[in-house]
Amino acid sequence: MTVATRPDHVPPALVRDFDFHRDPQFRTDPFRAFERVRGDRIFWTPADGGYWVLTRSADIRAVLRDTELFSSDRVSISATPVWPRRMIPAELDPPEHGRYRRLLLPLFSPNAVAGMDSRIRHECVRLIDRFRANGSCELLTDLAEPLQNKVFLDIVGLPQDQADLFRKWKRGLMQAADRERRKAAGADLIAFFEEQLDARETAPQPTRRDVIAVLLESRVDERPLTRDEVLDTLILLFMAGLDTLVTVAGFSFRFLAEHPEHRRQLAASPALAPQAAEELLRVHSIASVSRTATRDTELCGVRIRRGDRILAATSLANRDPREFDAATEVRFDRPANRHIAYGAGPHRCIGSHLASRELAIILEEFHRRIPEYGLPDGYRVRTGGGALASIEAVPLVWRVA
Amino acid sequence: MTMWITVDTSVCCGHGRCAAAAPDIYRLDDNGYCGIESLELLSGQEDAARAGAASCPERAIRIADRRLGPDPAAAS
Ligand code: HEM
Ligand code: SF4
Repeated sequence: MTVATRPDHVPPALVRDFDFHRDPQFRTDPFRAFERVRGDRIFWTPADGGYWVLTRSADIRAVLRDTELFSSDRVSISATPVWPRRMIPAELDPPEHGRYRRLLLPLFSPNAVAGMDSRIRHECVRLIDRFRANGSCELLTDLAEPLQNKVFLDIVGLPQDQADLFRKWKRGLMQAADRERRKAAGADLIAFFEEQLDARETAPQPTRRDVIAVLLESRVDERPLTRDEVLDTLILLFMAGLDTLVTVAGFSFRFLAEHPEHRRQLAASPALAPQAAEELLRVHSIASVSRTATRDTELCGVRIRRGDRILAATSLANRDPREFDAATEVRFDRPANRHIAYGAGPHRCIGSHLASRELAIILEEFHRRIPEYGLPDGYRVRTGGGALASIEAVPLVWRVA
Repeated sequence: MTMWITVDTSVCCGHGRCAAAAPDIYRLDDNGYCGIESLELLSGQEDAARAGAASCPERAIRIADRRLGPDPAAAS
């Protein structure tokens, strides 16, 4: 890690010791770990080359909305980028950004997602039925991951039989500590994407409406997308769409396993699932994105220099007591839950409708079949911080009649 | 008294929360963005319209007793 020395424009009084990638507190509860800085409105940390941290919902939303002053050119704070070019559409700024984002939106709209409901539900129930009689499961690998892989590969238009390979690449690319392994996983993944694209180009499948079809057929600025642009989009979808939902499901079930009253509410009325999903997303907001100031400016009364990096942690926004009553309490009946777990402004998550529905389906179908469960005695779930908070394994046990 | 909703389409980012709260009022377009700019409410729709407006994370929706112009600064 590169620790920065404090630049002149940063007042010493605003410097804090903060590192959401490495602070051990993030290994048990990343969301609570963020709360440690709640007392400051804005501060600067020398970690990872140095960056500003905002803590209030209103300030975070204002930065995410102001794409002119705050660029998405590097959307994660981490100093070692996983991808050599800007990822599309996440790391493009308007107006360029909209030209690419628009292509993907219809595939992920609420209407499109409603049309997938029965297929997702069917697969979810099939997976639950496989382990239900065992009296135990590991929520991520037995349910959330295989479900998300299937849904994701379907929408993107990739073959289902590669799900295991996908898992390996995902681990390599996102979790491997050493550069060489990450590079190797990235190269394998790109080779796989290239192969799939070649196959689709030589034998187009005109009836398919998936991401690959859209990317290969669409035009931006009156020309087809280049191969690099297609890859930059696929890699972003891979990073944004595969692990995120799985992680939120993991955190949600850890919470439910440890909170019998909430679990019973869901078991008693499965129709509560959509609202419960939004509230669980609010308190388990895993994404912490970053922006770069495009010119010298002022933010929360502080001088910001062009090129300064700013962290917008959705967890801090979504547990801000100025924004939510009893912000750290989980209330499934919260009226008007204006959380920004999916971000805010023009880059707001494209996959949100899909992810929310999947989470609601998982909650509903699981509790219909397995109303009572818990973590194994003494088991401690391990988690991690970073741009996307992570969770290692969520083993659940229950009694079988 | 008739009530109007006004959606600032330059601020709407397609959260779709308005439609989740009040699907009969807030219709989404094919991209998932709020498809209306302004709409006169039928009597009895006020509460649902307010619930929809209150759920918008971008504060894009305003409700008033008249059709409002495009003035985002007036948004609550
Ligand atoms: C619970 C699960 C998810 C969470 C919490 C989440 C969160 C986010 C956040 C916070 C952003 C904004 C990034 C920024 O402003 O820089 C984002 C963007 C994005 N997400 Fe998600 N996401 C989830 C699931 C998904 C899924 C399932 C997909 C697709 C299959 C997806 C695709 C995208 C894309 C394409 C963007 C970039 C949008 C743009 O730049 O215009 N996400 N997501
Ligand atoms: S909730 Fe707000 S941002 Fe979302 S679609 Fe409705 S008006 Fe647009």
